[in-house]
Amino acid sequence: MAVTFLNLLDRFRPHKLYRPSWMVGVSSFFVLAFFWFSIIYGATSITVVLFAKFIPELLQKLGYFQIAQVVYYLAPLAAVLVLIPANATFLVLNERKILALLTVRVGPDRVGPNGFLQTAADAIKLLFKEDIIPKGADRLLFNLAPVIFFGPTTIAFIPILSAATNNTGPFLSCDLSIGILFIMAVSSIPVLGLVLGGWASNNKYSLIGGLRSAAQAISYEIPMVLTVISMIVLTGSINLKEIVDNQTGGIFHWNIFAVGNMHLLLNLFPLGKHSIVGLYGLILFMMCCILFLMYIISACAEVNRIPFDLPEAESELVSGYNTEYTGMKFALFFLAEYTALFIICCLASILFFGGGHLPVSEGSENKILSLLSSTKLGDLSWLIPSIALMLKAYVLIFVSVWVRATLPRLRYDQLMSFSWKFLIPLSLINIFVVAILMSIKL
Amino acid sequence: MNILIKTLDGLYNIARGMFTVFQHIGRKPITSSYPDVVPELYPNTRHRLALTVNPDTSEHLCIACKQCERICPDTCITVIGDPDKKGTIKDFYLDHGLCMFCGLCTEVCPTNCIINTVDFEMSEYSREDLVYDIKRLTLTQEQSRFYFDFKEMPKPKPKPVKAAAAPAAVSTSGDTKS
Repeated sequence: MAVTFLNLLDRFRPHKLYRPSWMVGVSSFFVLAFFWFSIIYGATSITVVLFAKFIPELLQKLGYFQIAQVVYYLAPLAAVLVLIPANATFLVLNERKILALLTVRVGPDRVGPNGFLQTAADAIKLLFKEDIIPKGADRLLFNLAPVIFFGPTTIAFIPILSAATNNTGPFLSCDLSIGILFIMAVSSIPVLGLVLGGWASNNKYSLIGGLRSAAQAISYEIPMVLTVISMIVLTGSINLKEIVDNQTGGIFHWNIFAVGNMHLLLNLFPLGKHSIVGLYGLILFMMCCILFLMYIISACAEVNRIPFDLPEAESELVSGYNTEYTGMKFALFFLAEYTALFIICCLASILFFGGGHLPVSEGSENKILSLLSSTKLGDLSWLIPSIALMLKAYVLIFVSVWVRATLPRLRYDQLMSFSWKFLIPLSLINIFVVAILMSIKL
Repeated sequence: MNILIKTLDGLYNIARGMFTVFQHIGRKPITSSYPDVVPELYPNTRHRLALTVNPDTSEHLCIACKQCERICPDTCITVIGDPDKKGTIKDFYLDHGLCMFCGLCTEVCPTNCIINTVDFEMSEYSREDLVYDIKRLTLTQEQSRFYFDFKEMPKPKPKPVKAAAAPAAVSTSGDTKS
């Protein structure tokens, strides 16, 4: 006891060990983001180089030419399989740290320096946990649900890779001509997994969560797809690569700035003969902003982000559809959720924020790319678009966490009426207006 | 028109709320990471009870007047005075499992012997361990000095009357107790 008391006396002295001053949290967060970004990016690019270069060369030496070709074109898939777990691990930590920053807390800081390895430790813990299947659960569907939830998110990532790497090398195989359509189609499958998981758990909370998620995903998919259709009408393509290529040439050529027609707004200022053209540009700009807002809202609802997280409302249902899941299956649900968020944000940055293009003029961007394409290590021009796309996606993810820190959860009837009475009519009007705007030849 | 105004109003309010949240980025965290950083407690905080000794002479300050035992609403204090010598303490039991930390005993104590310390980490494995005897309750001389300074209590004088009558006996008993 005496020892405890003396320790206590020591603690009364002014401590210099831990005194966070202003902005220390922010700077440590940036260090964390850089650390994790380099891990994710490094792991993914090492995998790609391994699959696209070293293994095919080895196989060709051994004489298996066809297998070498197959392995070469499997590189994108390997990249996705490395990228998704690493990325989700980062996103969870990222979200907790940003939430801590926004709500004036410390956040996780126990595992590793300043909590850098918290989610890695969580992942290891989940790997070793006992896998419990509750009594009365439908074993087949219970085991199948996380797979159905996780699989499509992996597949939906494929077309984004072509936009992220400018079709370099093996990533040519990801360049689907129906890019957006493919992502929309595939990313509507995971809802099935949620419903199955909710039903197979034999638990009322899970069931309610599953039903809610089904209703929510169906009603928010419509405005999302309709918004994307408006964007397709504006850009004139459903190939992600082409949409990105249309946005070359600096920040004012991005789609959110009136699909690159920002210069039309200049006609407004000396009011007169040409002001009608300026008005056209203004309406186009406003349409793009509205479309972006609607896309973000309905996408957040689609992937069950916080203001719309009715399926796992922890204050009403225990944890929603994943109440009964433990161990690796729970981890799969978690992984898929964050991957879906990442896909949504990547798609938003491709559709509205110029994809992998830097916010500089076309000439300087080409100069950077040509510099990188002839280095000693070979063609490295894929670095710039992929890093730019990921950073843009991370900024959007930050915004979504920011929204999470701010807004309370919607009530269920509000959620439904917001979609069916507000978003869907508005998106239909948007398509109409966009079609009229595009049919006007200036 | 109504729905347009409502939409714009909602967007404005959401933007305002988000701006308010964003302003708090980079503030010093309100939460403290407790085991690393013990909060600075005030002198009047009421935590674990303890008995002090005279910080100068290290003789036990308790005079076995049993005022604390009488006033304790939970009857968690048991004072056993020395039957041979009046005004000295033989044993002192305090059940922290019963104690509600009202601080009445510290107010009533004539010699500022029983005090509330700032130690609140007293979890034990069994309920019996929460009954502290005099050995666990009594502070050392240094700790007593710290608490006398910390709580700004008047320094006790060395027992004057008994020192005149039987100085040797009192000083030895005081030494053994501390």
